[in-house]
Amino acid sequence: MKHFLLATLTVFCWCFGFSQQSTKNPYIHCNNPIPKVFHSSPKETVLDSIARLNKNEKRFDRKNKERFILESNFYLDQFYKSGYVCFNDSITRYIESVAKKLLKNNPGLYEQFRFYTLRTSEVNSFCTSDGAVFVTQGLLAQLENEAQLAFVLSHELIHYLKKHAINAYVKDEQIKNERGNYQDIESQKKELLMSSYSRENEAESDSLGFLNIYSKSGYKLEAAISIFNVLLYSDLPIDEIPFNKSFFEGSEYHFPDEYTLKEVKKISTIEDINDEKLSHPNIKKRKLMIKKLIKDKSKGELYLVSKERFDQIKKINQYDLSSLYILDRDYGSAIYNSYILLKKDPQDNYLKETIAESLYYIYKYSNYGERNKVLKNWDNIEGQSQQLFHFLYQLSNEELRQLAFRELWTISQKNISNQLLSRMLESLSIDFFENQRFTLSEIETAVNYNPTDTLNAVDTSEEYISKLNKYEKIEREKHIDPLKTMKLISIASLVIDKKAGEPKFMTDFFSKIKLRYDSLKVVDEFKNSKKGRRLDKQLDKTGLALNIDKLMIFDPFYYKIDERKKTEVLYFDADEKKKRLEEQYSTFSNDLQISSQIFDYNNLTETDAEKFNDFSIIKLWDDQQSEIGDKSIVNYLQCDLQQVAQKYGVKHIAFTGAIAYRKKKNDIGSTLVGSLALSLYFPPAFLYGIYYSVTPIYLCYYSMNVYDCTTGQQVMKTKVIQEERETNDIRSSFIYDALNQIKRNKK
Amino acid sequence: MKKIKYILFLVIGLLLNTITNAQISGYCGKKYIIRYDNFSHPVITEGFDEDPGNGVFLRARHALSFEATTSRKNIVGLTLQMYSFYAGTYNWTSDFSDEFLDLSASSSSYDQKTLHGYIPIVGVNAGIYKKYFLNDWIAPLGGYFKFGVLFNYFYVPDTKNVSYSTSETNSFSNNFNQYLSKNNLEVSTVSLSKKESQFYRGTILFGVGSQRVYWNNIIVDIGMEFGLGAKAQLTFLNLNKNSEIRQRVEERVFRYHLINFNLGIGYLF
Repeated sequence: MKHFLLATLTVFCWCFGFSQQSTKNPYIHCNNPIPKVFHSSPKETVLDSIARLNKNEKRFDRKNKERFILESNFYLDQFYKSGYVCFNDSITRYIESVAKKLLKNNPGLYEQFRFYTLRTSEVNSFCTSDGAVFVTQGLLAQLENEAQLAFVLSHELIHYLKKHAINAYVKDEQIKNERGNYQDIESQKKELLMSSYSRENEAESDSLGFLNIYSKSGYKLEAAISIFNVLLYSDLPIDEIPFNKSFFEGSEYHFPDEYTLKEVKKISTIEDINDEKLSHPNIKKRKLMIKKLIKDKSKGELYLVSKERFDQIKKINQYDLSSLYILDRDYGSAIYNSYILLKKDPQDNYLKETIAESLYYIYKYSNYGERNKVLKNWDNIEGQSQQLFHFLYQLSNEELRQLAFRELWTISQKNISNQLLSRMLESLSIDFFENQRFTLSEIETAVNYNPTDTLNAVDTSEEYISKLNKYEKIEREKHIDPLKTMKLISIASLVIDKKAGEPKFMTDFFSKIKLRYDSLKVVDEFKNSKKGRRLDKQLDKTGLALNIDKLMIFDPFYYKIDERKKTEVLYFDADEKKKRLEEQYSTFSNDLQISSQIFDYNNLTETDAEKFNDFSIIKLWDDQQSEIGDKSIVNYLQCDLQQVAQKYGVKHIAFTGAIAYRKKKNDIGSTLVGSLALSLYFPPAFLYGIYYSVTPIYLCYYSMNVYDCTTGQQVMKTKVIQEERETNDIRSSFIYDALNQIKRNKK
Repeated sequence: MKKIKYILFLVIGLLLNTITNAQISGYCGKKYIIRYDNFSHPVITEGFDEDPGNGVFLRARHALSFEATTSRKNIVGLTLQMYSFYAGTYNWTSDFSDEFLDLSASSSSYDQKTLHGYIPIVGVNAGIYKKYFLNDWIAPLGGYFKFGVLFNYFYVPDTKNVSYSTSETNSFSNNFNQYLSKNNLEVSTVSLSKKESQFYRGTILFGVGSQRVYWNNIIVDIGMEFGLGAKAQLTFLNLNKNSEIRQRVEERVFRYHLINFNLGIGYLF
């Protein structure tokens, strides 16, 4: 969802850098008052903006502008409410203070803008046609000084003032539809024309931003050049520090040397790339242009707000990056980011936690055969981080599991109250039982075993065996079951650096896990039994019986799509329908005596920032969950969600909504022939054939997913797709049935 | 008979009790439907042994049903249906009274005065059916398959009491003459039946359709129904012979149920 939103936004916004992406943040929280766009429908804004369009403009251009206003506002509405945008938080306030310094000579202009921080590891900033400027945490983590931020903002302000976004949209449509000066153009040339226009706008923003805003603000002019280095190397981590596998090793716990690359790839990024197909001019051109405009490089200050504040903000963002990478499922980058920061702050538990958590996710996804989805291919990586990615790729699933467990165990002992770590440990340990079939006595033996002895016991090297005498060799063969010993090593290696008392903890821990594993096994066995499968089939007929009395229904969605129209998404209709949908949820909940709370952003008031923060957590949790799907993986925001649920006194949360879809029919001919043939026997069939041919294809989709906020387990997954027009009766039937299944208590 | 009534009452009571306590969704909590259905099948008549007249007709069967939603995917219905049709009545003289197949050998003349036209036959069905809702539909809304059984009862009245207008009789005899000449047949006399008859039959039903709900309480059902019951082939009817009437009725029953278009409207509560 996040990627979809961000990708779509690039159509409507004007970016400073290249692209963008996502996240959660343990530090930043939005504060009151909530800006209107975060808790209202964009309907009024759209109508207002369309009314203000010049009526004398060419019809084609005006229509495209109307469409742009409509689509961009509704997409932005989803973006504002996606959980990724922060307002009135410490970072955004800092951005605002820099913007104030920039526009100190023009306070009226400052009032036209709104500034937001984006929870994403991507390095970027962009501006919308209504004056909303977004700066990503990824960019803030990489900036070297305040003046660089000021230049980025100057650039974005010009995009707004020159209305680049809306003009580019109209221009692109003219080119695509071969209007005006763009008739009879080859399709390849069209793309080049569009990117050329985009580059012109970017160059204009750079130059006018520098001349009209930045150079007049008092910031150091030279910083406007150095910012391009940040952009050039934006895909690299915040620092280049060599990675050594010893970081993960213990006194008796080592990895083979083959896991280390002899040398890492050098960074090959160049300034002067061919930008013919790019939306931005290449860095060399941008630098040159600014250089030409600078007369006195040394003029100005690097900091007008405060250096301390900038450093503080930068640090927050750099630390946040580890979490942001985890939420982006870029676990290798998360580990490397924390690894870099640990060099400066070796005792920081948060960073160690993010490493352990990332290892957990890499192992888990690897176990599902998806390692390449969550770990960038080490061969494509340049710079020092390649060593880490190579190392992670070399680890077998077994090794990853061991390593993740060691890291999680170690850090969880320091922070016993961290529920997320406990959940991850439990999840990993169940995998141990599943894969290695431990018995509790084996665990007890293993955790009290001298690891060195254990390792020696299975040492099959000739050197080791040659040292044994005849009787030792016989004993070794006689008593040592290699498979069993391997298991012992496997467990023992978990506590290889054991401290006093730890074996006892671990035995207790595993005893609990064993019980949990056994109960899961029983459930699993029942599910796979004949009776279980029969019950599964019956569930379709009878429905579930969840016996839930309190439910949080989170931001129900309603989309109306008509493929036959140029603006395929019918926003206004959907807005009205969404209200009706919520009313139905409310009515039926009352009928069924379910105490339901419907969380809708549009019902918030401007003093509900705390609620808004809770909404963001739920949104981000849902985003993560959609990536996890049916896999048995702990959601990174599971504990955060649990806290939110507790706050509102509910245990279950429902994500639900509807889509009404319409498209043109393609098989009209065959339908008519068929109906004609049938009409020989039953004449009205022909009339029906005509009716069927002229009516479009309708589809309606409903879904209701209910999760247990404590465990993150999905307790209900209902999806209905009908080839019918989305009507009140179908919607009511689905909603009532879903709620009825939630309420029912029949076993 | 008392026992049967008692068992029937018990079964219906148990069924309703199960449904009431089953926490079934139904349509927004509404699980029962009282409905009227019109089952019609198109026929082409020649005007003498079928309906009085030539042309294409939609023969209707009227049903009053009670349906109860028994699960998310099923409905059970009890139905009571009624329909009536005509049959041409003839009475052969003693010479040819046994088998109509012997008619071809007849040389007697047809006496119009003894022809009495049509006899109304009333059919009543009582049955039970189950609807299975498709895929993602939740009963009672959406597309369904229907299976059921019908108990058919037919009543043939005493034709002595049936009177016809002269024009009806003339028309009928005219058609009848045409039919006979077309088939090289001759008949000497035709007379009225002397007694009433009753028959019982069974029919198996299969149907497909779709139900929609309007204004939260009104249910509209459009579908097709196919039925298989007893079948016979008989053109002429000797009312002196119950076996022939039965055959004739069976033929009509078969045709009445074979293919039907169904339009139903009901009240959902």
